[in-house]
Amino acid sequence: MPDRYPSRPVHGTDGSSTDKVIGEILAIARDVLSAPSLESDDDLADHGATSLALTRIIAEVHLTLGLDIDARDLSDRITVGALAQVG
Amino acid sequence: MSSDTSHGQRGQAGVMSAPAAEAVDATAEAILQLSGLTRQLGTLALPEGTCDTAPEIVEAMCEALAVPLVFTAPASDRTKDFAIVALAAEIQREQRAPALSEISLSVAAERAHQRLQTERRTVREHRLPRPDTTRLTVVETGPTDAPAIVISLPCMLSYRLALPWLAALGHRYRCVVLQGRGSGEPIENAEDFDDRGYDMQAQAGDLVAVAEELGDAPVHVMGICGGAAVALAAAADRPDVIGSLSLWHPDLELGDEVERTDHQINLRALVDLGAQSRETGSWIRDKVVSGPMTGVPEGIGPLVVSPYASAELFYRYASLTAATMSWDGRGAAKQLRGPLLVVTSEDDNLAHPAASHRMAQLVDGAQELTARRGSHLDAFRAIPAHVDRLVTFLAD
Repeated sequence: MPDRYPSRPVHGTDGSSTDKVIGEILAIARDVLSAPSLESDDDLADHGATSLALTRIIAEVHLTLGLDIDARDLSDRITVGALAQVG
Repeated sequence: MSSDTSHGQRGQAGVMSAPAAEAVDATAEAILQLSGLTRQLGTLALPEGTCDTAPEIVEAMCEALAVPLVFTAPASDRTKDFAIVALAAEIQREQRAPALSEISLSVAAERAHQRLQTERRTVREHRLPRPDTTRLTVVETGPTDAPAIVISLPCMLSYRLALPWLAALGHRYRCVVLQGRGSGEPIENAEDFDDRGYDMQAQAGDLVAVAEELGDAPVHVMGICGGAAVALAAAADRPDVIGSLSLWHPDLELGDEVERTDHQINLRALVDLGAQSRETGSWIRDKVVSGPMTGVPEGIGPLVVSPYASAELFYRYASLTAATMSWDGRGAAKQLRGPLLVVTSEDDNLAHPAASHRMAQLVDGAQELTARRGSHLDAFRAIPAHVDRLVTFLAD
Protein backbone atom coordinates (compact mmCIF):
# COMPACT_ATOMS: atom_id res chain seq x y z
CA MET A 1 0.00 0.00 0.00
CA PRO A 2 1.28 3.48 -0.82
CA ASP A 3 2.78 5.81 1.76
CA ARG A 4 0.29 8.67 1.80
CA TYR A 5 2.42 10.94 3.96
CA PRO A 6 5.90 10.68 2.48
CA SER A 7 6.93 14.29 3.03
CA ARG A 8 4.97 15.15 6.15
CA PRO A 9 6.99 17.26 8.63
CA VAL A 10 8.18 15.30 11.62
CA HIS A 11 7.53 16.80 15.02
CA GLY A 12 10.19 16.75 17.69
CA THR A 13 12.88 14.99 15.72
CA ASP A 14 16.05 14.63 17.71
CA GLY A 15 17.47 11.84 15.72
CA SER A 16 15.86 9.01 17.69
CA SER A 17 13.56 6.63 15.87
CA THR A 18 10.97 6.87 18.64
CA ASP A 19 10.64 10.61 18.21
CA LYS A 20 10.38 10.15 14.50
CA VAL A 21 7.59 7.63 14.90
CA ILE A 22 5.78 9.90 17.34
CA GLY A 23 6.15 12.76 14.88
CA GLU A 24 4.74 10.70 12.04
CA ILE A 25 1.80 9.49 14.09
CA LEU A 26 1.19 13.00 15.37
CA ALA A 27 1.04 14.32 11.83
CA ILE A 28 -1.48 11.63 10.90
CA ALA A 29 -3.61 12.26 13.97
CA ARG A 30 -3.59 16.02 13.38
CA ASP A 31 -4.70 15.44 9.83
CA VAL A 32 -7.46 12.95 10.64
CA LEU A 33 -8.79 14.99 13.55
CA SER A 34 -8.30 18.35 11.81
CA ALA A 35 -6.52 19.36 14.99
CA PRO A 36 -3.28 21.21 14.18
CA SER A 37 -2.72 22.04 17.84
CA LEU A 38 -2.78 18.39 18.93
CA GLU A 39 0.28 17.39 20.96
CA SER A 40 1.63 13.91 21.53
CA ASP A 41 0.46 13.71 25.13
CA ASP A 42 -3.04 15.05 24.49
CA ASP A 43 -6.00 12.73 24.94
CA LEU A 44 -7.32 12.17 21.43
CA ALA A 45 -10.87 12.13 22.77
CA ASP A 46 -10.44 15.76 23.77
CA HIS A 47 -9.86 16.52 20.10
CA GLY A 48 -12.99 14.76 18.95
CA ALA A 49 -11.62 11.31 18.21
CA THR A 50 -14.48 8.89 17.59
CA SER A 51 -13.98 5.16 17.20
CA LEU A 52 -14.01 5.62 13.41
CA ALA A 53 -11.44 8.43 13.60
CA LEU A 54 -9.20 6.36 15.85
CA THR A 55 -9.49 3.42 13.48
CA ARG A 56 -8.58 5.66 10.59
CA ILE A 57 -5.52 6.91 12.47
CA ILE A 58 -4.49 3.31 13.19
CA ALA A 59 -5.06 2.37 9.55
CA GLU A 60 -3.06 5.34 8.27
CA VAL A 61 -0.24 4.52 10.71
CA HIS A 62 -0.23 0.97 9.39
CA LEU A 63 -0.14 2.18 5.79
CA THR A 64 2.57 4.71 6.44
CA LEU A 65 4.78 3.14 9.08
CA GLY A 66 3.84 -0.52 8.94
CA LEU A 67 2.91 -0.53 12.62
CA ASP A 68 0.01 -2.71 13.75
CA ILE A 69 -1.57 -1.00 16.74
CA ASP A 70 -3.98 -3.06 18.81
CA ALA A 71 -6.35 -0.76 20.63
CA ARG A 72 -6.77 -3.45 23.29
CA ASP A 73 -3.27 -2.54 24.45
CA LEU A 74 -4.29 1.06 25.08
CA SER A 75 -5.65 2.55 28.24
CA ASP A 76 -8.78 4.68 28.32
CA ARG A 77 -6.68 7.79 27.75
CA ILE A 78 -5.37 7.39 24.22
CA THR A 79 -2.54 9.68 23.14
CA VAL A 80 -0.19 9.75 20.17
CA GLY A 81 2.59 8.79 22.56
CA ALA A 82 0.62 5.74 23.64
CA LEU A 83 -0.05 4.74 20.04
CA ALA A 84 3.68 4.92 19.33
CA GLN A 85 4.43 2.86 22.39
CA VAL A 86 2.12 -0.05 21.54
CA GLY A 87 2.75 0.06 17.80
CA MET B 1 -35.93 -22.93 29.56
CA SER B 2 -36.00 -22.60 33.34
CA SER B 3 -38.86 -23.33 35.68
CA ASP B 4 -41.65 -20.81 36.00
CA THR B 5 -42.15 -21.34 39.68
CA SER B 6 -39.85 -18.62 40.95
CA HIS B 7 -42.16 -16.01 39.46
CA GLY B 8 -45.37 -17.66 40.61
CA GLN B 9 -48.63 -16.77 38.89
CA ARG B 10 -48.61 -13.07 39.54
CA GLY B 11 -48.18 -12.20 35.95
CA GLN B 12 -51.05 -14.00 34.25
CA ALA B 13 -52.27 -12.43 31.05
CA GLY B 14 -54.76 -9.69 31.73
CA VAL B 15 -53.22 -8.53 34.98
CA MET B 16 -49.93 -7.32 33.62
CA SER B 17 -49.21 -3.77 34.74
CA ALA B 18 -48.55 -1.07 32.19
CA PRO B 19 -44.88 -0.76 33.22
CA ALA B 20 -44.47 -4.52 32.92
CA ALA B 21 -46.07 -4.56 29.49
CA GLU B 22 -43.83 -1.70 28.44
CA ALA B 23 -40.77 -3.50 29.75
CA VAL B 24 -41.66 -6.69 27.89
CA ASP B 25 -42.28 -4.78 24.68
CA ALA B 26 -38.99 -2.91 24.96
CA THR B 27 -37.09 -6.12 25.63
CA ALA B 28 -38.86 -7.80 22.71
CA GLU B 29 -37.85 -4.95 20.42
CA ALA B 30 -34.25 -5.19 21.62
CA ILE B 31 -34.28 -8.90 20.77
CA LEU B 32 -36.02 -8.41 17.43
CA GLN B 33 -33.39 -5.89 16.39
CA LEU B 34 -31.03 -8.86 16.21
CA SER B 35 -33.36 -11.04 14.15
CA GLY B 36 -31.83 -9.97 10.84
CA LEU B 37 -28.40 -10.92 12.07
CA THR B 38 -29.45 -14.33 13.33
CA ARG B 39 -31.17 -14.96 10.02
CA GLN B 40 -27.88 -14.38 8.25
CA LEU B 41 -25.40 -15.72 10.76
CA GLY B 42 -27.39 -18.30 12.73
CA THR B 43 -27.15 -18.37 16.52
CA LEU B 44 -25.52 -15.18 17.77
CA ALA B 45 -23.31 -15.21 20.85
CA LEU B 46 -23.62 -12.10 23.00
CA PRO B 47 -21.35 -11.40 25.97
CA GLU B 48 -21.58 -13.35 29.19
CA GLY B 49 -23.33 -11.27 31.77
CA THR B 50 -25.58 -9.44 29.32
CA CYS B 51 -28.67 -10.71 31.12
CA ASP B 52 -27.57 -9.96 34.65
CA THR B 53 -31.08 -9.30 35.96
CA ALA B 54 -33.64 -11.35 34.05
CA PRO B 55 -31.80 -14.14 32.18
CA GLU B 56 -34.71 -16.55 32.23
CA ILE B 57 -37.19 -14.04 30.87
CA VAL B 58 -34.83 -13.06 28.06
CA GLU B 59 -34.27 -16.71 27.24
CA ALA B 60 -38.01 -17.34 27.13
CA MET B 61 -38.61 -14.29 24.97
CA CYS B 62 -35.82 -15.20 22.54
CA GLU B 63 -37.51 -18.55 22.06
CA ALA B 64 -40.93 -16.94 21.60
CA LEU B 65 -39.53 -14.49 19.06
CA ALA B 66 -37.49 -17.17 17.26
CA VAL B 67 -34.28 -15.20 17.65
CA PRO B 68 -31.50 -17.65 18.58
CA LEU B 69 -29.21 -15.88 21.04
CA VAL B 70 -26.75 -17.34 23.51
CA PHE B 71 -24.79 -15.40 26.08
CA THR B 72 -21.41 -17.03 25.92
CA ALA B 73 -19.13 -14.52 24.19
CA PRO B 74 -15.94 -13.65 26.13
CA ALA B 75 -16.35 -10.62 28.32
CA SER B 76 -12.75 -9.95 29.33
CA ASP B 77 -11.14 -6.80 27.99
CA ARG B 78 -8.46 -8.71 26.07
CA THR B 79 -10.94 -10.71 24.05
CA LYS B 80 -13.94 -8.43 24.08
CA ASP B 81 -15.51 -7.59 20.74
CA PHE B 82 -17.09 -4.18 21.19
CA ALA B 83 -19.46 -4.62 18.25
CA ILE B 84 -20.92 -7.59 20.09
CA VAL B 85 -21.04 -5.49 23.24
CA ALA B 86 -22.99 -2.81 21.38
CA LEU B 87 -25.32 -5.42 19.89
CA ALA B 88 -26.12 -6.61 23.41
CA ALA B 89 -26.50 -3.19 25.01
CA GLU B 90 -30.21 -2.78 24.32
CA ILE B 91 -31.11 -6.17 25.74
CA GLN B 92 -28.91 -5.56 28.75
CA ARG B 93 -30.56 -2.25 29.51
CA GLU B 94 -34.15 -3.38 28.93
CA GLN B 95 -33.91 -6.61 30.96
CA ARG B 96 -32.93 -4.50 33.95
CA ALA B 97 -36.37 -2.86 34.05
CA PRO B 98 -37.74 -3.51 37.57
CA ALA B 99 -41.20 -4.17 36.17
CA LEU B 100 -40.00 -7.37 34.50
CA SER B 101 -39.74 -8.97 37.93
CA GLU B 102 -43.53 -8.71 38.26
CA ILE B 103 -44.28 -11.22 35.56
CA SER B 104 -43.79 -14.89 34.87
CA LEU B 105 -41.76 -16.38 32.06
CA SER B 106 -44.84 -17.69 30.33
CA VAL B 107 -46.58 -14.32 30.37
CA ALA B 108 -43.50 -12.55 29.02
CA ALA B 109 -43.10 -15.18 26.32
CA GLU B 110 -46.77 -15.05 25.38
CA ARG B 111 -46.78 -11.28 25.07
CA ALA B 112 -43.61 -11.39 22.97
CA HIS B 113 -45.16 -14.04 20.75
CA GLN B 114 -48.33 -11.99 20.31
CA ARG B 115 -46.27 -8.95 19.46
CA LEU B 116 -44.42 -10.91 16.78
CA GLN B 117 -47.68 -12.21 15.32
CA THR B 118 -49.15 -8.72 15.26
CA GLU B 119 -46.08 -7.35 13.53
CA ARG B 120 -46.17 -10.14 10.96
CA ARG B 121 -49.79 -9.33 10.15
CA THR B 122 -48.96 -5.63 9.74
CA VAL B 123 -45.54 -5.75 8.15
CA ARG B 124 -45.59 -8.21 5.31
CA GLU B 125 -42.34 -9.68 4.03
CA HIS B 126 -41.43 -11.39 0.81
CA ARG B 127 -38.43 -12.23 -1.35
CA LEU B 128 -37.75 -10.72 -4.74
CA PRO B 129 -35.42 -12.83 -6.90
CA ARG B 130 -32.97 -10.98 -9.15
CA PRO B 131 -31.39 -12.25 -12.35
CA ASP B 132 -28.02 -12.59 -10.60
CA THR B 133 -29.65 -15.03 -8.11
CA THR B 134 -29.75 -12.48 -5.29
CA ARG B 135 -32.99 -12.79 -3.33
CA LEU B 136 -33.89 -9.37 -2.01
CA THR B 137 -35.86 -8.98 1.19
CA VAL B 138 -38.79 -6.63 0.75
CA VAL B 139 -41.15 -5.63 3.55
CA GLU B 140 -44.26 -3.55 3.24
CA THR B 141 -47.28 -2.26 5.03
CA GLY B 142 -50.46 -0.48 4.01
CA PRO B 143 -53.18 -1.15 1.43
CA THR B 144 -51.85 -2.83 -1.70
CA ASP B 145 -54.01 -0.61 -3.90
CA ALA B 146 -52.77 2.64 -2.36
CA PRO B 147 -50.12 4.90 -3.91
CA ALA B 148 -46.72 3.35 -3.29
CA ILE B 149 -43.69 4.69 -1.47
CA VAL B 150 -40.41 2.79 -1.60
CA ILE B 151 -37.78 3.46 1.06
CA SER B 152 -34.09 3.13 0.25
CA LEU B 153 -32.02 2.66 3.40
CA PRO B 154 -28.27 2.83 3.92
CA CYS B 155 -26.48 -0.32 2.77
CA MET B 156 -26.82 -3.40 4.95
CA LEU B 157 -29.13 -1.82 7.50
CA SER B 158 -32.28 -3.54 8.67
CA TYR B 159 -35.75 -2.58 7.50
CA ARG B 160 -36.57 -2.14 11.19
CA LEU B 161 -34.95 1.26 11.00
CA ALA B 162 -37.82 2.28 8.74
CA LEU B 163 -40.60 0.99 11.00
CA PRO B 164 -41.47 4.51 12.22
CA TRP B 165 -42.06 5.54 8.60
CA LEU B 166 -44.14 2.44 7.95
CA ALA B 167 -46.25 3.22 11.00
CA ALA B 168 -46.68 6.86 10.01
CA LEU B 169 -47.47 6.27 6.34
CA GLY B 170 -48.98 2.80 6.25
CA HIS B 171 -52.57 3.86 6.74
CA ARG B 172 -52.69 5.81 3.50
CA TYR B 173 -49.79 4.54 1.38
CA ARG B 174 -48.43 1.19 0.35
CA CYS B 175 -45.11 1.66 2.07
CA VAL B 176 -42.31 -0.64 0.98
CA VAL B 177 -38.77 -1.05 2.31
CA LEU B 178 -35.99 -2.70 0.36
CA GLN B 179 -33.41 -4.34 2.54
CA GLY B 180 -30.50 -4.26 0.19
CA ARG B 181 -28.43 -7.03 -1.31
CA GLY B 182 -25.97 -8.78 0.96
CA SER B 183 -28.06 -8.32 4.08
CA GLY B 184 -31.21 -10.39 3.78
CA GLU B 185 -30.11 -13.94 3.03
CA PRO B 186 -28.32 -16.56 5.10
CA ILE B 187 -24.62 -16.60 4.22
CA GLU B 188 -23.95 -19.99 2.67
CA ASN B 189 -21.18 -19.21 0.22
CA ALA B 190 -19.62 -15.85 1.07
CA GLU B 191 -18.14 -15.32 -2.39
CA ASP B 192 -21.63 -15.35 -3.93
CA PHE B 193 -21.81 -11.76 -2.81
CA ASP B 194 -18.85 -10.82 -5.02
CA ASP B 195 -20.06 -12.89 -7.95
CA ARG B 196 -23.48 -11.22 -7.90
CA GLY B 197 -21.99 -7.72 -7.76
CA TYR B 198 -22.47 -4.76 -5.50
CA ASP B 199 -21.82 -1.69 -7.63
CA MET B 200 -24.22 1.20 -8.03
CA GLN B 201 -25.78 -0.30 -11.12
CA ALA B 202 -26.65 -3.46 -9.19
CA GLN B 203 -27.97 -1.55 -6.17
CA ALA B 204 -30.04 0.91 -8.22
CA GLY B 205 -31.31 -1.99 -10.34
CA ASP B 206 -32.62 -3.66 -7.20
CA LEU B 207 -34.55 -0.55 -6.23
CA VAL B 208 -36.05 -0.23 -9.71
CA ALA B 209 -37.04 -3.91 -9.62
CA VAL B 210 -38.89 -3.37 -6.34
CA ALA B 211 -40.68 -0.34 -7.78
CA GLU B 212 -41.60 -2.20 -10.96
CA GLU B 213 -43.07 -5.03 -8.93
CA LEU B 214 -45.59 -2.63 -7.40
CA GLY B 215 -47.54 -2.03 -10.59
CA ASP B 216 -47.75 0.41 -13.44
CA ALA B 217 -48.16 3.67 -11.51
CA PRO B 218 -44.91 5.52 -10.81
CA VAL B 219 -43.88 5.30 -7.19
CA HIS B 220 -42.36 7.78 -4.80
CA VAL B 221 -38.90 6.88 -3.48
CA MET B 222 -37.48 8.03 -0.16
CA GLY B 223 -33.69 7.89 -0.02
CA ILE B 224 -32.51 8.03 3.57
CA CYS B 225 -28.92 8.87 4.52
CA GLY B 226 -26.67 6.48 2.57
CA GLY B 227 -29.73 5.19 0.72
CA ALA B 228 -30.00 8.52 -1.05
CA ALA B 229 -27.37 7.72 -3.66
CA VAL B 230 -29.16 4.57 -4.79
CA ALA B 231 -32.50 6.39 -4.76
CA LEU B 232 -31.12 9.24 -6.85
CA ALA B 233 -29.47 6.93 -9.35
CA ALA B 234 -32.62 4.88 -9.77
CA ALA B 235 -34.90 7.92 -10.05
CA ALA B 236 -32.69 9.56 -12.66
CA ASP B 237 -32.43 6.39 -14.68
CA ARG B 238 -36.07 5.32 -14.61
CA PRO B 239 -38.47 8.29 -14.38
CA ASP B 240 -41.15 6.02 -15.86
CA VAL B 241 -41.03 3.90 -12.72
CA ILE B 242 -40.06 6.47 -10.09
CA GLY B 243 -42.27 9.52 -10.34
CA SER B 244 -40.87 11.58 -7.48
CA LEU B 245 -38.05 11.51 -5.00
CA SER B 246 -37.34 12.68 -1.49
CA LEU B 247 -33.93 12.64 0.17
CA TRP B 248 -33.61 12.59 3.95
CA HIS B 249 -30.35 13.77 5.47
CA PRO B 250 -28.67 12.41 2.35
CA ASP B 251 -25.08 11.27 2.21
CA LEU B 252 -24.18 12.16 -1.38
CA GLU B 253 -20.97 12.76 -3.28
CA LEU B 254 -21.53 15.95 -5.25
CA GLY B 255 -18.00 17.19 -5.84
CA ASP B 256 -15.03 18.29 -3.78
CA GLU B 257 -16.44 21.74 -3.17
CA VAL B 258 -19.37 20.31 -1.22
CA GLU B 259 -18.38 20.08 2.43
CA ARG B 260 -18.38 16.76 4.27
CA THR B 261 -18.40 15.95 7.96
CA ASP B 262 -15.47 14.28 9.69
CA HIS B 263 -17.68 11.21 10.01
CA GLN B 264 -18.19 11.05 6.25
CA ILE B 265 -14.47 11.51 5.58
CA ASN B 266 -13.47 8.85 8.10
CA LEU B 267 -16.14 6.39 7.01
CA ARG B 268 -15.25 6.82 3.36
CA ALA B 269 -11.57 6.17 4.08
CA LEU B 270 -12.37 3.05 6.08
CA VAL B 271 -14.88 1.54 3.67
CA ASP B 272 -12.52 2.17 0.78
CA LEU B 273 -9.90 0.14 2.62
CA GLY B 274 -12.37 -2.44 3.89
CA ALA B 275 -13.67 -3.08 0.39
CA GLN B 276 -10.26 -3.97 -0.98
CA SER B 277 -10.43 -7.57 0.17
CA ARG B 278 -11.93 -9.73 2.88
CA GLU B 279 -8.54 -9.75 4.59
CA THR B 280 -8.34 -5.97 4.67
CA GLY B 281 -11.97 -5.71 5.67
CA SER B 282 -11.41 -8.09 8.55
CA TRP B 283 -8.37 -6.08 9.68
CA ILE B 284 -10.31 -2.81 9.61
CA ARG B 285 -13.25 -4.34 11.44
CA ASP B 286 -10.99 -5.73 14.12
CA LYS B 287 -9.58 -2.25 14.71
CA VAL B 288 -13.04 -0.70 14.95
CA VAL B 289 -14.35 -3.27 17.43
CA SER B 290 -11.24 -3.54 19.59
CA GLY B 291 -12.33 -0.52 21.62
CA PRO B 292 -15.63 1.00 22.68
CA MET B 293 -17.69 2.11 19.69
CA THR B 294 -18.68 5.75 19.94
CA GLY B 295 -21.84 7.34 18.65
CA VAL B 296 -24.03 4.25 18.95
CA PRO B 297 -27.54 5.66 19.40
CA GLU B 298 -29.68 4.38 22.24
CA GLY B 299 -32.79 2.53 21.17
CA ILE B 300 -31.54 1.47 17.73
CA GLY B 301 -27.94 0.60 18.50
CA PRO B 302 -28.08 -3.01 17.26
CA LEU B 303 -29.57 -1.90 13.95
CA VAL B 304 -26.75 0.57 13.37
CA VAL B 305 -23.94 -1.68 14.57
CA SER B 306 -25.09 -4.80 12.74
CA PRO B 307 -22.72 -4.36 9.75
CA TYR B 308 -19.85 -4.72 12.20
CA ALA B 309 -21.19 -7.97 13.68
CA SER B 310 -18.84 -10.17 11.66
CA ALA B 311 -15.91 -9.81 9.29
CA GLU B 312 -18.01 -10.95 6.34
CA LEU B 313 -20.79 -8.48 7.07
CA PHE B 314 -18.31 -5.64 7.41
CA TYR B 315 -16.67 -6.56 4.11
CA ARG B 316 -20.09 -6.44 2.44
CA TYR B 317 -20.97 -3.18 4.14
CA ALA B 318 -17.66 -1.67 3.07
CA SER B 319 -18.04 -2.87 -0.52
CA LEU B 320 -21.60 -1.61 -0.90
CA THR B 321 -20.99 1.65 0.93
CA ALA B 322 -17.75 2.41 -0.89
CA ALA B 323 -19.78 2.11 -4.11
CA THR B 324 -22.44 4.56 -2.95
CA MET B 325 -20.08 7.03 -1.29
CA SER B 326 -17.79 7.24 -4.31
CA TRP B 327 -20.61 7.61 -6.82
CA ASP B 328 -20.79 11.16 -8.17
CA GLY B 329 -24.44 12.15 -8.06
CA ARG B 330 -24.14 15.39 -10.05
CA GLY B 331 -24.95 13.80 -13.38
CA ALA B 332 -28.03 12.11 -12.02
CA ALA B 333 -29.13 15.30 -10.28
CA LYS B 334 -29.05 17.18 -13.56
CA GLN B 335 -30.87 14.34 -15.29
CA LEU B 336 -33.63 14.19 -12.67
CA ARG B 337 -37.02 15.19 -14.08
CA GLY B 338 -39.54 14.41 -11.36
CA PRO B 339 -40.30 16.49 -8.26
CA LEU B 340 -37.67 16.46 -5.52
CA LEU B 341 -37.88 17.13 -1.78
CA VAL B 342 -34.67 17.39 0.25
CA VAL B 343 -34.79 17.34 4.05
CA THR B 344 -31.91 17.91 6.44
CA SER B 345 -30.84 19.92 9.45
CA GLU B 346 -28.08 22.49 9.73
CA ASP B 347 -26.50 20.64 12.63
CA ASP B 348 -26.39 17.16 11.12
CA ASN B 349 -22.89 16.06 12.09
CA LEU B 350 -23.02 12.75 10.24
CA ALA B 351 -24.25 13.68 6.73
CA HIS B 352 -23.28 17.27 6.08
CA PRO B 353 -26.24 19.48 5.06
CA ALA B 354 -24.13 21.01 2.28
CA ALA B 355 -24.99 18.08 0.01
CA SER B 356 -28.69 18.70 0.56
CA HIS B 357 -28.31 22.37 -0.26
CA ARG B 358 -26.33 21.50 -3.40
CA MET B 359 -28.95 19.01 -4.52
CA ALA B 360 -31.65 21.62 -4.16
CA GLN B 361 -29.58 23.96 -6.33
CA LEU B 362 -28.94 21.35 -8.99
CA VAL B 363 -32.57 20.32 -9.49
CA ASP B 364 -35.04 22.84 -10.87
CA GLY B 365 -38.06 23.28 -8.65
CA ALA B 366 -36.62 21.21 -5.81
CA GLN B 367 -38.15 21.77 -2.41
CA GLU B 368 -35.87 21.97 0.58
CA LEU B 369 -36.72 21.64 4.25
CA THR B 370 -33.79 22.43 6.52
CA ALA B 371 -34.30 22.46 10.26
CA ARG B 372 -32.04 24.75 12.20
CA ARG B 373 -31.69 22.12 14.88
CA GLY B 374 -32.16 18.42 14.53
CA SER B 375 -30.32 15.17 14.32
CA HIS B 376 -29.22 12.85 11.60
CA LEU B 377 -31.43 10.23 13.19
CA ASP B 378 -34.46 12.39 12.47
CA ALA B 379 -34.27 10.90 8.99
CA PHE B 380 -35.46 7.59 10.45
CA ARG B 381 -37.86 8.82 13.10
CA ALA B 382 -40.77 9.97 10.95
CA ILE B 383 -41.26 13.02 13.13
CA PRO B 384 -44.63 14.74 12.58
CA ALA B 385 -43.16 17.76 10.80
CA HIS B 386 -41.43 15.47 8.31
CA VAL B 387 -44.47 13.27 7.78
CA ASP B 388 -46.65 16.31 7.18
CA ARG B 389 -44.19 17.77 4.71
CA LEU B 390 -43.90 14.51 2.81
CA VAL B 391 -47.65 14.04 2.63
CA THR B 392 -48.08 17.61 1.36
CA PHE B 393 -45.30 17.10 -1.16
CA LEU B 394 -46.91 13.91 -2.43
CA ALA B 395 -50.33 15.55 -2.63
CA ASP B 396 -48.89 18.39 -4.70
